[in-house]
Parts: sequence; C-alpha cells; structure tokens
Amino acid sequence: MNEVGVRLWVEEYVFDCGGHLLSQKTSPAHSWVKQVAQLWYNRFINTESEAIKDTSGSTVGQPTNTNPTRSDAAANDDAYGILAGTGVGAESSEDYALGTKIAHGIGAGQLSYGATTNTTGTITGGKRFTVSRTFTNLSGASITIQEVGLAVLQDTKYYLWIRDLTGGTAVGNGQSAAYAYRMDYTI
Amino acid sequence: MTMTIRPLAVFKTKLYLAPALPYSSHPTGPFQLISTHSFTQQFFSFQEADLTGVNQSATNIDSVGTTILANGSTWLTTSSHLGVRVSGAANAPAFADAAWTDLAGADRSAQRSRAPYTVTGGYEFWFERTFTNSGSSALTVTLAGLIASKTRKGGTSDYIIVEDAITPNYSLEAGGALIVRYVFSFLV
Repeated sequence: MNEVGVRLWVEEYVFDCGGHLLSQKTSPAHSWVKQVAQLWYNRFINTESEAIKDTSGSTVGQPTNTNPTRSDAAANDDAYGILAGTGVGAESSEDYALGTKIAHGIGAGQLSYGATTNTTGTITGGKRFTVSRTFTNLSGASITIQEVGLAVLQDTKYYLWIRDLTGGTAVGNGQSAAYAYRMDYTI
Repeated sequence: MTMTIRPLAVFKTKLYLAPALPYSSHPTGPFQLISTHSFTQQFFSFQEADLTGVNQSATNIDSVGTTILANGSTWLTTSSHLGVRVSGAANAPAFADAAWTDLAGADRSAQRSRAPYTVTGGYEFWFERTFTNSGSSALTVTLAGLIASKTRKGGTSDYIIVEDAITPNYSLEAGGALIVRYVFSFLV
C-alpha cells in the first residue's frame, strides 16, 4: 500500500554576501508535533476540547475557530513563521518550541529574519504548498543553525507545528540561509 | 558529513472498515486497513487558506470560519450530513474531485470520534460512523470520504476533503452494518 498523504520536506540554501548560492540540500522533514494534530482535531469538531501548549509552554484552549492559523510572519517577526535555533535536542512529537530560538536582530548571536512567504504549485496528482524564509547574518560573527521549525499564529497565540534538526549549518557574517518547508498533497 | 536516514514525516489519513451489528458501534470483526490515500483539492485549499490567511478564490474557500466534521452525540440516520460518508459511485478517487453522491439505503449513524492519542512516532485521532443497510437487498460500497463545511464568500458550503476507493468493493448485506473509520495520522 503506497504511503500517500501530505509528505513533508525541508529545503536549505546558503548564500554568500553577494547572493551567490554556496550550498543547498533537501531532506525529509521529520517532526509534525503534537500541536498540529490537536489544532486539526479542534478545528474539525469545532470545539476547544483539546488544550494546546503554545510556544511559551503555556497550555491554553484553542481560542476560536474563526481565525486562520497563519504562517505568513512579517520580516523581523521571530514569533512565528519559519524559525531558526541553536538547540540540538532530538526531534520529538512533544516539542512545543525550538530548543533555543535565535532571536531576530543584528546583535551577537542574532539573525535578521526576512518575511515568511507562501507559494502554491502543481505536482503530479496533487498540489504543493511551500513556506519559506531567509535569515541573514549581520551579527559580525558566524552562527550555526542547528534547528528549524514552523510556528503558526492563531488569534494571539503561537503554536509549533514542525521541528527539524539541520545537522549544523554555519552561516558566516554577511551570509544568509533560506529554509523552506515543502508540503506535497496528493491522492 | 554523516547523515542518518530517517523516515519522511507524513500527515495522512488511514481508512479502516469493520463489520458491525446494525446500529451498533461495536465491531463484530477486526478493523481492516483499506487505504492510506486521500486528500483532495478542497483539503489543500483549507490548508492554504489557513496558512496564508487569504481566501482561495479557485475553490471559493474563505480564510476564516469553522471547519466541521459533524460530531453528533446522538444516534442519527440522516440529519448529520457532514463527516464520514460512503458512496456507491463507480469513479476512482481523484485529487480534483469535488462532488459526492451518497449510497442510497445506507443509513448513517451519528459520528463518533477519538481525540488525539499517542502512537509510536506521533499522534493520531479518528472519526467513524456506522452505516446500516435497512433495505432488503445488498448494497455495494465503492467509496468512502469525509465531508467538511467551511465558510466561503457569502455563506457556508460543504466540501469533500478526503476520498478513498474501497477495493475490493464491500457488499453491505441486507440488515448488515459497516463501521467506517478515518484515522488522521501525524507521524515522523
């Protein structure tokens, strides 16, 4: 029996300060976390039966079903969209936040977060939805991205959907790294 | 660089069937896995509208509003029109399918559900219904699906979001019943 459904991949691109591609890789993504199942369940049955842990670690009821769970964070917003971090803890379905999120900024240990963008495409037998974001290192020193994830905003709360380890990707000062979560929907 | 090969994360549905006594939620046989396929264009558009906060004009699906897979708490035969459905149509499931035809004569129960629970590698939840043939001749079940409602510009519509072929077709004998369970699975 074929394994079909929504298949999840993570793409990584590293660019030099002139925008030239230095490296790229595409890997199977691993961790849909608990919150995505809870959010879908609540949405399907139109109740708040599942209390969900937000990215701060607080367990809250899903506020309402009348707002979307958005991924399209603006530039400089490190609360949701694709996030980058330095945590190296193993991926787990119980993750509710990155291990150690890298904050937006140009200070030491910080990355400048671009906007999270969404694109839709057609694939054989279905559709592709891609969420992407670029992180630029203007901190003055190299930063190694160890983990990435996707967090969504619903009403005023942020929920982690996906978390993956990168294997350690060094981004030198002036360089940038772009990550994309690619969701392939087929029947 | 050493790379450890691990399975691809998949968010999917799994379709199970089990025979039952008429109007009973207790299976008289084991649940059998029928398919792990299923999402349609409409489900994609739900997700797209959700994540982007933008209405999907191609499918007329709004970025806001409820999605309901009917979760009635009492036994109903016809009024809960959302949720798990069966059909006797002959077509093969396709991503672009948007229409649904119910199997006439298969009385549907209220929908039951189980909230997210832990499985190896992730979480699952499920919805199920029992379909009873109260007629005097056998019915042929060819498709199963899930219907959800969502707001659209100007109102609310019902959409087929999951569709699976039942192969081989299931013969629902007169007086017989069939439990159809859709498991949503989020695994690493």
